[in-house]
Formats: sequence, structure tokens, C-alpha cells
Amino acid sequence: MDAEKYIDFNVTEDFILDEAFVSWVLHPGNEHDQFWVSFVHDQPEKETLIRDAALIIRSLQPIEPEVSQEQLDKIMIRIKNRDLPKFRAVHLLMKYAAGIALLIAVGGLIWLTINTKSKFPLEVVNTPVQKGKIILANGLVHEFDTEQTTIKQSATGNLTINNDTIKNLASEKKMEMNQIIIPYGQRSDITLSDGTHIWLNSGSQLSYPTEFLGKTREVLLSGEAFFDVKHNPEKPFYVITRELKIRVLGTSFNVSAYDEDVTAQAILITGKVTACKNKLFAQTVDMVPGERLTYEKSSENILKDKVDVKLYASWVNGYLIIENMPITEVLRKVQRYYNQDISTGEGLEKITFSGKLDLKDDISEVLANISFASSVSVSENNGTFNVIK
Amino acid sequence: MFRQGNNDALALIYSDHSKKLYLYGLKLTSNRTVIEDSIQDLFSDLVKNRKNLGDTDNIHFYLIKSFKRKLQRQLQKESRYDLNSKVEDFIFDITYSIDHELINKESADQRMSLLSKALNGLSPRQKEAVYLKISEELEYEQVAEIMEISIESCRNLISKAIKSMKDTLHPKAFGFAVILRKLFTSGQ
Repeated sequence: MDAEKYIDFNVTEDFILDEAFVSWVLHPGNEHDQFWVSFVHDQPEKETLIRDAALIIRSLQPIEPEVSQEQLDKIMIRIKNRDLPKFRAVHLLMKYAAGIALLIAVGGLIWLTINTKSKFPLEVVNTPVQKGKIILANGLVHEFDTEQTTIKQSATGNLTINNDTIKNLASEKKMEMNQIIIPYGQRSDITLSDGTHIWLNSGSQLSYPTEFLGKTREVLLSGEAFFDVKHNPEKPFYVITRELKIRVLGTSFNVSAYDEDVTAQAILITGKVTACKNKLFAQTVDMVPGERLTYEKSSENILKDKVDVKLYASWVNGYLIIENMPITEVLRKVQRYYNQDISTGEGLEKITFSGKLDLKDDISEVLANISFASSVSVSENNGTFNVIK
Repeated sequence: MFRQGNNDALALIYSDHSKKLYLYGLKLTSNRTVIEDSIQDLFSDLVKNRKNLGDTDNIHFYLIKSFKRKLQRQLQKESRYDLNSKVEDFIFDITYSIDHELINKESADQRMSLLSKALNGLSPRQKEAVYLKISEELEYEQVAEIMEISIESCRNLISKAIKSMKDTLHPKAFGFAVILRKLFTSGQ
């Protein structure tokens, strides 16, 4: 540092506006401390100026409000996954979809797919099952009857069901499909070998390979599931239902394709997907976040509209948020979730329900809430519920 | 390094600067969502455009400047949707450490409280200019560019601010007399 320069400094401002001086006051360090100590020693008349300048500089330092590392990390994650919507949308999601949007890596590529074959090789088991099942490719069946079952498939072939690990028996590498069957009244979340996370709703079936060896990752679904697909542009992920084929690179979305429903629906939460009818040369439809694609089985038409995504992902967190839904449809959801028969009287189709149903409550409480909000009456008779106008 | 496509370099730049940007943002608005969106935008653009980035010797200046622009644009957009919130052009919400503690134990409390009063009497633009110059350690030219004013008026803003503070430490004869009289009367 140049002592000559500072000898000419005659007012406090000179020091306050000198970058090297400011830098020393704010970040004192040995070497510079020595410089200033000896400077004051040689130029005692400058001491007051220097003290005042240092005092003013320090007094100008702000007391900063709290900004946590966690907040900064959250922004960084979003920067790395560029296509994700901004915070407003995410706050919403975090509330309703267990914060999973943060784990998603998203690819922005849209591909036109042409279905070569209409195929749906999933053998949907139509007889009601009491216990959840996973049917392995080698024919072995494992049963589970927890209400919420966590399943993990590792790439080495090991399978974990609620902390019980089933060792891989097959040694050779080939595509083997496992099938999971979740009865009404139960739910499951499954992690596949590529890291994709799937929440399976009541009465749903999923068929998936133990390891994704081909050029694509394909799973078959009957029922309803929420997908949080691991990003991999090399291997697009396909969800194939009886009616729809949905192609993604990495995203989160909800698919509802129960055989007994009159429509099949896909709702996109983040990222981009393309969907088409599961038919030969079907035309593809692009979807952007917040859109719902509805396939009407009777007319075979595909419709697209904007929806409030939280309504569709809420079941993942154990509740249902419903807005203006015909009460018969609400009751069908409740019936599936609790695996309880609900019979309905006439004239209910025109009555709608809006509200939040906590699925941790037991079914009679849930029905009492619906009854209160929509002015219908509920009665119970030997475990069967009856809802009338 | 970053321009060559190194993502660790992005993480490094981010960890060095994001908090400072956030804190600067909090002085311009209390809306944390808008701040976070703007930071996300800023760094996403950085990733997207890294091949086109010029050689900036002062990345800190570049980031502050672009961040402020994004933040203001965002705030304008917000105010359009929300009739209750209006964009105040000149707020600079800063709490000085002097308000809470005695920085220098040797100096009399008297001087400290006068200094504190002088500080809080600064205009928002003075506060911002001084903050950028002294706390962010930027140069006049850079402060002027960020605040979209001429270098000359930037110098004026800052020197007036500092002069008003200095004068409280060494009041001129008349001012000093006034203060003494005040002290005397308040003491009675």
C-alpha cells in the first residue's frame, strides 16, 4: 500500500471513499493492520480523521434480516431444473404433493410419437382382492396388507416391501415384468430401479420391469397413480393405460385410468409430456403444466383443459380436495379409498360437492362431512352406507 | 471456468453471491417470493447464456445490476395484478448496526446517537448509493449504472450523505452551539 497517497488525505471523506481503506475497515487483516498502525505513528495528525472515517464506515454497515441456507438451496435446485415453474406454483405443490416437485429433473424435449401397435399387455385382475400383491416375473407372489405400502425395486433385482427385502433370484439380464396389485382401501408408493417414484391409489395395478434395459422405460397402469419421473433424455418414460399412452422424459403428473370410469385422465403438474390414444398412428397431444387431458371412452375423443392441479394430486398426501364435483363421483372415490360399499339414491347426479376430505378420518366421518356440505343424508346399515337426497 | 461449461463453477458463483443478492433485494422490497423468482431467473439466464457472456472482471457488479433490473420488472408486473400494492420507487429499507449497538466503545454515546440520527435522515437514494459504494464495495461508475443516474449525481449523493454524517461528529461552531443549548435545556 502506498503511504504517500494517504499523506495528501486531509478530510474524513477522502478515507471513507478510498476503496483500500474501506476494505481494511470491513475486513481487517494482519498485513494491513500493520500498515495503518505505522501510518498513524508517522502521521499522528491524521489519527482523528482515520478514527472518524472508520466509525462512519462501520456505522453504515447494515444489520441483515434472516436468509436461511435452506431458502438459498431451494432456489439453486430450481435453477438446476430450469423448466420447473417458479415458486408460486411450487409452494402450492409442496403443500399438496409432499414436496416432490423439488426432486424432479425435467427435460424439455417434445417428441412426436406414433404408436405402432395398440397394445395393453397388462392382465388386469378384475376379481376383487383383499390383500395387496406383487407378482414377480418368476411367478412368485408376495402379499402385503398394510394400508400404506412402500415398495422399492433396486436395479440389482432386490425388492423391498415395507423394509423386508426379497433377494433377487434370477441371475441373467433380461426384461422381467413385476406386477403390483393394490386392493381398494389400500395405497402404495413404489420406487423403481431408475429412481422414478410412483404413488398408486386404491384399486390400481402397475406392471413394471425390474430393470429398464431397452431404449425406453415403459410401465403399464390400470387405475390411478401419481408419477414423479426421473429425468433421463436417453430413455423416455412411457405410461401406458388401456386408452392412453403418455410419453415423458422426466416430470410429475397424475394419471387416472380406472376401467370402470367413463373417462381416462392425465393431469400434468410440472414439465412437459405428450400423450396420445393407445392406438396405431394416434395423433399426439402436447401438455403443459396445469393441463388436464381427458379421454372420453364412449366417443373416443380427447379433450384438453386447464385445471387446478392441487385438486388432482391431493390424494397422495392423504386427503381429497374437491371443487364442484358431482357427488356421485366423489362417493365413487371414497368407496375406492375405503373399500366400503356406498349405495346411492336417485337425483344425486345434479348435486355437487366442494371441500377438503381428510382420508385419515374414518369413512363415517368423511361421509358426515359430505352430508353436511352438500345437504344429502347418509345412513348406515350393517356396514353398508346409503346416501340419498 | 464457468463460461466453459463447468457447473461446479455455477455452484461456486451461486454460493458466493446469492445471499448478498437476497439481502440487497430485501432492501428494495419485502416480497421474498419476487426476490427468489428474480434470483432464479438471473442464474437460469446465466446458465443459458454462458457461452455468450463477456469477460466480466467484476461478476458481483454484473449480478447486482441484472438482479435489480429483474426485480424491478417483476415488482411492476406484480403491482399490475394487485391493486392494493403500488411500487414505491424509492424505498431502501436498511437497518444500521449503529441503531442497535455501540460500535466504538471509546466514542461518547452522544456522538453515536447523533450519527444514528444523521444516518436515518438520509434519503432512500442516498442510503442505496452509500450502501452500494461502501458495503458492496463498488466503484462510482458501477453504482451510477445500477441506480441509472449519472456518475456526477452519484458522486453528489454519496458525498452529501457522508458530509452530513461527518458534520454530526464535528459540528461547526454554530451547529455545536445549538446542540449545546439543546443539551442544556433538555438537562433542566
